[in-house]
Amino acid sequence: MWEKLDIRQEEREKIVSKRRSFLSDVWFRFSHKPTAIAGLMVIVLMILFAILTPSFTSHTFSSQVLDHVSMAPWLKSIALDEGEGYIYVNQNLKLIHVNADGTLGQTLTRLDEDDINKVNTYAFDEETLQLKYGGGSQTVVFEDGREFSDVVKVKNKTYLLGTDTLGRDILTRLAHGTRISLLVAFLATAVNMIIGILYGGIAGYKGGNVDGVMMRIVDIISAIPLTLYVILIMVIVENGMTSIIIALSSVYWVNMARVVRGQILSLKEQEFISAALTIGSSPKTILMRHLIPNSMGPILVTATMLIPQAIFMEAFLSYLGLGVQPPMASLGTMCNDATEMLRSAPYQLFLPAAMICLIMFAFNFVGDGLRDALDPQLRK
Amino acid sequence: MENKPVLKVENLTKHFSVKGGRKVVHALDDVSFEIPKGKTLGLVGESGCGKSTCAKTIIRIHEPTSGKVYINDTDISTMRQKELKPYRKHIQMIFQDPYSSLNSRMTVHDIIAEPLQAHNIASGKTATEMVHDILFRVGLNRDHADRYAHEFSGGQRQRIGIARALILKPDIVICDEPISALDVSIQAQVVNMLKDFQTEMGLTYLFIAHDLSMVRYVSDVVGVMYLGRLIETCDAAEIYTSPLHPYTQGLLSSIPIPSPKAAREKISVGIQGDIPSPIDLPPGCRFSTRCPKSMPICKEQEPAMLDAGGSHCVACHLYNK
Repeated sequence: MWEKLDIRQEEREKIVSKRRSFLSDVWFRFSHKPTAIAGLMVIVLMILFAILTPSFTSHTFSSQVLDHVSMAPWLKSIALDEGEGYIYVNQNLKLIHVNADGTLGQTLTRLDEDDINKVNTYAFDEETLQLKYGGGSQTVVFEDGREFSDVVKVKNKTYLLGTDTLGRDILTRLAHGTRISLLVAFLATAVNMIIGILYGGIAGYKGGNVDGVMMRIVDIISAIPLTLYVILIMVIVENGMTSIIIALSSVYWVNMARVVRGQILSLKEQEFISAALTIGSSPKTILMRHLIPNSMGPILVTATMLIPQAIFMEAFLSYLGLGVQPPMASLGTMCNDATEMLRSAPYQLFLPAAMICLIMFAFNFVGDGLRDALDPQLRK
Repeated sequence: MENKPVLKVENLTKHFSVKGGRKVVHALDDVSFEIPKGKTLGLVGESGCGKSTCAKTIIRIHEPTSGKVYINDTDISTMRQKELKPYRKHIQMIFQDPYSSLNSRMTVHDIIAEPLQAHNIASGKTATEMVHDILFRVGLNRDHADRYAHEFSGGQRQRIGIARALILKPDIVICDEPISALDVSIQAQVVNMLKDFQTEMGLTYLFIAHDLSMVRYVSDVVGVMYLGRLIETCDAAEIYTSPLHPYTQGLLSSIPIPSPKAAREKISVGIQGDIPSPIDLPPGCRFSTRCPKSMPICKEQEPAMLDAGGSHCVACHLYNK
């Protein structure tokens, strides 16, 4: 009934499955999580947006046009005859001609003001026109008697996302701010990672009293909210991007150190570390080739979770006025500038705030996805 | 020359301090033995009796509390890790769990080549050649070299572990329950491979197991441990025919017998009770709390290891006349 198969030794030992390294395994699991992939795509788009946008727009982050102050992405303007465009009236009763395609044209020169009758006179090309603004509505009256008062929403084609209170293009500033926020976050996280891995790695590997002393130092540092340290450091050092990176990197590594130490403490008891010891490998080899690569999973997760935290912190500090200096834009400074105009121009606050939310969401989703993908318990 | 011990252990003791107290765990107490070249000492005992601690203390994963370990007449027990490094080449270890003893982030090639790099023996192409050679000898082939450990079965992983231990051509190999994590069909394969390597390379084994029948098969001499102490040593054949210590007798009677008829006829000398705590040891003989032949003296005085004739040593007051 049962017959022994004649099978060669080599055949028996053959591994049929596809060769799969650890990384391809992780990618496989990561790519099967929709939220993680969505997060990753958002981050990639965000980075592209931050890098490429400034070279496509005709504005720079610091150039100002004082006539074009606080212009929304959609301009509420008075429609003229077909093909003649629109007239935009701003809060100071300055008139700006909007071309039929939505780009901004000339600013009309004010010739005469009559506050009592609420009629202003402006020069428009060769002729003059009057703006009557009494009784809650605005009417444009031309010399030849034509009157226009229909208000329509026109897409602002010159400033796609509008301008801020100082007449700077928000789209360019948003890209610039995202760039600075991401840069600060990535650099701070990289520095945190290096310090945290080394500190936690040494504490965990040495163990005993060394570990005790090193971790008590960490405890002391984290006894006071980390935000407070960053604010204090920022108060002492000069404002600017480098300072904010230094401030963030000098404090947030404590979490990373804790994670790494915990990982190393548990890995140290595994037999492959004993094996490396009996082989005669040096402590450096054991730390660099065995312990740290094996704790890379939680390290990466902590790092991806640290990025949104750093972005938020940077925005927070800039909002308080401790971050990057004007005219440099960061998402936080943009929010800060916009709060003054919150009632009349809410889009100025909404755009950078939405950007912060988007970045935070994206990184948190990616971090979540990474944690699931790197967890060996979930390996299928 | 043949009888000169390659590995000699003298009064090896390892105590672990208990956290938050002055008490200590007596994991290993006063263990002495020696293994001549090319022979195998099988170490048996129930779990928690200090077999693995013994192995790990000999190879200096744990620092010994006291006692001496000689490798070819050199005492390594008090050396610093740096001085110890050249001696590590002579003594290698095969671990119990083939899953946790291989780094899952490294390829098989890197795992096996690690000892070569650590001792600057070979690198690059020479190392690769040596790795392929040893892979072939443990029944794997060069295609396996760039795969990761998690792609292998337990038996294959254990053979990778063996390859890693043997690539330095050591004199002594400590096998810490190398087969207990494997299923029975693979156990025989691995044990036979170890025996083949022994005759081929003249290896000396310290073989730790809790499976008595397997120990009989591989060992020349068997040592029985109980609560951190060596209580009986004798030739492998003799321990099954004439065990002296009551604990050994009990241990042997716990081996399941394949035939139900024979099992019914067997008089059981089973051991009652649990193993006492290694923190608060019973006074006198450590086995006295569970010993069916306990005498008043057993509770007062710890028996010494004495020769009961014909290189059969036992630590029991019954034979101390």
